[in-house]
Amino acid sequence: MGYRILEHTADIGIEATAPDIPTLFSEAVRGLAAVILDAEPPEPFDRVAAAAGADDPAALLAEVLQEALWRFESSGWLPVDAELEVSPTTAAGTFGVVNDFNMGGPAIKAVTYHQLAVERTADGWRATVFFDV
Amino acid sequence: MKTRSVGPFEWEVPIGETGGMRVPGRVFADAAAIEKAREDRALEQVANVATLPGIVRASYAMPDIHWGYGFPVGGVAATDVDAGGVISPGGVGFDICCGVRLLRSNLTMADVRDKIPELSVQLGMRIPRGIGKNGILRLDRSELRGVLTEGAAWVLGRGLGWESDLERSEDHGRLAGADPDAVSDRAYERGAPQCGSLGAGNHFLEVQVVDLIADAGAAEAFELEKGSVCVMLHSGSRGVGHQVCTDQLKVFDKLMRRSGIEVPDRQLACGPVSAPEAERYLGAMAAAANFARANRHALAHEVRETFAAVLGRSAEDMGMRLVYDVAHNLAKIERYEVDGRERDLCVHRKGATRAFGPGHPELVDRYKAVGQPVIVPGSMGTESWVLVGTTEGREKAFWSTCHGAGRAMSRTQAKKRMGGDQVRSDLEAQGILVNATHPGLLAEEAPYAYKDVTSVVDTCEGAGLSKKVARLRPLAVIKG
Repeated sequence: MGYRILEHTADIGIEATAPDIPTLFSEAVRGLAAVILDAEPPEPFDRVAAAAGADDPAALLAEVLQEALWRFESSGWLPVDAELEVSPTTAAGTFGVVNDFNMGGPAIKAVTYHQLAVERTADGWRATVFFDV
Repeated sequence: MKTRSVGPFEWEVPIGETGGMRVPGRVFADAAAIEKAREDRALEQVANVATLPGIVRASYAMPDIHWGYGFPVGGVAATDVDAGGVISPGGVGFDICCGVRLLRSNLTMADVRDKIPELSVQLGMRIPRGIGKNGILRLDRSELRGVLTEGAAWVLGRGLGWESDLERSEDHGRLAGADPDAVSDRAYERGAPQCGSLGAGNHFLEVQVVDLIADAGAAEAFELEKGSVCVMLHSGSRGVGHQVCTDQLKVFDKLMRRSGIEVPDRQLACGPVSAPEAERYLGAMAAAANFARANRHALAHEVRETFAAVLGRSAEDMGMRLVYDVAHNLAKIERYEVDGRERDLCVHRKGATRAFGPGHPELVDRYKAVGQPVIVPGSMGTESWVLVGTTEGREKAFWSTCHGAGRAMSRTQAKKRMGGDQVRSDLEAQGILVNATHPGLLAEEAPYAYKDVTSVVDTCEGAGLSKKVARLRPLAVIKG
C-alpha cells in the first residue's frame, strides 16, 4: 500500500494502492507531491480545505489532483496528503500542505485522462494517473 | 503491433491492429525509429487515434514520434467536419499552441563571442521562467481578454515588438474565431500574470549560430546566413492553455458518452465538430492559442531589448527580425481534397508542425516562392534545424512535419544516467553556456534523453514532408 512512480517517455505517472478510497486518494496526492519534489513528501505543517466533484471515481480522483495542483500554483503551498470524505461523485475535506521544500522534480502542467483508472483489487483499491510534464 | 513498409521512411499500421480502427496508421520513420515507437507503445496510440469518428486517410505520426497521452507525440489526425468528424481536446494537448519562434540577426560570432557569458546572465535575469512565474506583462481581466482575442497584435499595440513580426507568424499571430467568453475564470486567473514568461520543463531560449546552409534559396528568403547569430525560443500558452484543456476534457468526456462514441483511451475524449460544445472548445482553444502567440511575441521583445542592452546597439541595427513563429499543438479547420471532393477537415497536430509548401495562398509574399519556414529545436546542447514545407507535403500528411527531436528516454532514466551538474559541465566543455533554474531539470532534459534531431529531419526530408534549410548550433541555453 502506498504509491509508486510510473515511467513514461515524456511525461510521468503514479500508481497508488490503498485499502479504501479515501486513503487511495491521499496516496495519490502523496504520489503527485513525490513527483514534484523528486523525494518522499514531508509531513504537512498545516491543512487547507479541499473539494471536488465528478461523474465517476476515476474522474473524481483526477479532479482532486487538479485541485492539488491549483493549490500549489496559486498559493505556493504544496499538498502532500489528503483527508477526504469521498462519495462516488464528490470529495470534501482537507489537503495537508508544506511551504518549505526543494522542488527537485519536473513541473507538472496538468492531470491527464490517459489510462486513468480507479479499480478494485483483491485487497483494496488501485489508482493509475499520468501527468503532463 | 504489426507494421509494413510502404515506401521510403513510411510504415503502415494495418486496420485491425486495434479494434475499431477506421483508417490505417501511417508512420514516417527510419527502421530504428519504428522499432523504438513499437517498444514505447506509441504505435498503439497511432492505432487508437485511427478509431476516431470521421478520421480520413490515416492516423499519421511524424518521425519524432513517441509515447504521449491519448495521441502519440508527433500525431496528426484529420476528421471530416461534414461527415460526423470529431475534435478531441486531448489531440491538441494541455499546452495549446506550444511552439517555437526564431529571431535572426546580422550579428556574427566575432560580434558576440566575448559577450555570450553576459548575454546568458542577462537573458536569464530578464526572461521570466520557471513554474507559475510572473511574466513581462501583468494583465487585468479586460487586458487578458484583449490578448485572448487579438493575440500578438495586442502586445504590439502596447508598443512591444515589430509590425513585421505579425506577417512572419503562423496565422499572423492571431488565430481567428477566439471566444474569450468560452475561457473559464480559473484560466483567466492563471493567465493574467503569465504573459511573457517561458515556463519550465522542455521550454527554453537559446542563442545559436547558423553553422550549415542546406538550401541556399530558402535560406536567403528566410534571411539566414552561415555564421549569423539567431535566438530560438520554445514556449506555449502557460496556465491558460493548461486550464482550457483541463476544463474541456471534462466537457468532452461527458459529450462522448452522450454521443455514444467509444475510444480506447479516455484522453481521446472527443465529440462531433458540429456540436455546440465543439464550437465552444474551438473558441477557447483559439483564445489560448492567441495567448501563446502573445506570450512568444512579448518574450521576443525582451530578447531584443536584452541584446540591445548588452551589445550597445539597437535591435533594428542588429537586424533581429523574426524568421517565423510556428505552433506544434493545435487543431485547425483546413480544406483538402479527399477522394475527389474538397472537404473541410479538422486537422489535429499534437507535437507536429504545419508545413505549407511553396505557393500556398496563406503564406506571406516573402515566403510564397519557397514555402513555410519550420523551426525544429534539437535537444539541449545539440543542433536545431530550420526546414521548409514541400509541395508533396500536402498529400503526404496534410502539410505536417516534425516538431523536435522527440524524447527517447523517460525523465527518471535520464536522471539515473547523469546528474544535472555533470550535464552542465559536459555542455560547457563543448562551449555551450547553460543557465537553468535547478540542476534536476538539466538531468531530465539531457541531450541523450532525446533522439538525434538530424536523423529526425533526415527522415522528414526522405519522406517528402519537409526539406532541410539551415542548421543552428547552440551557444547559450536558458532553461525554465
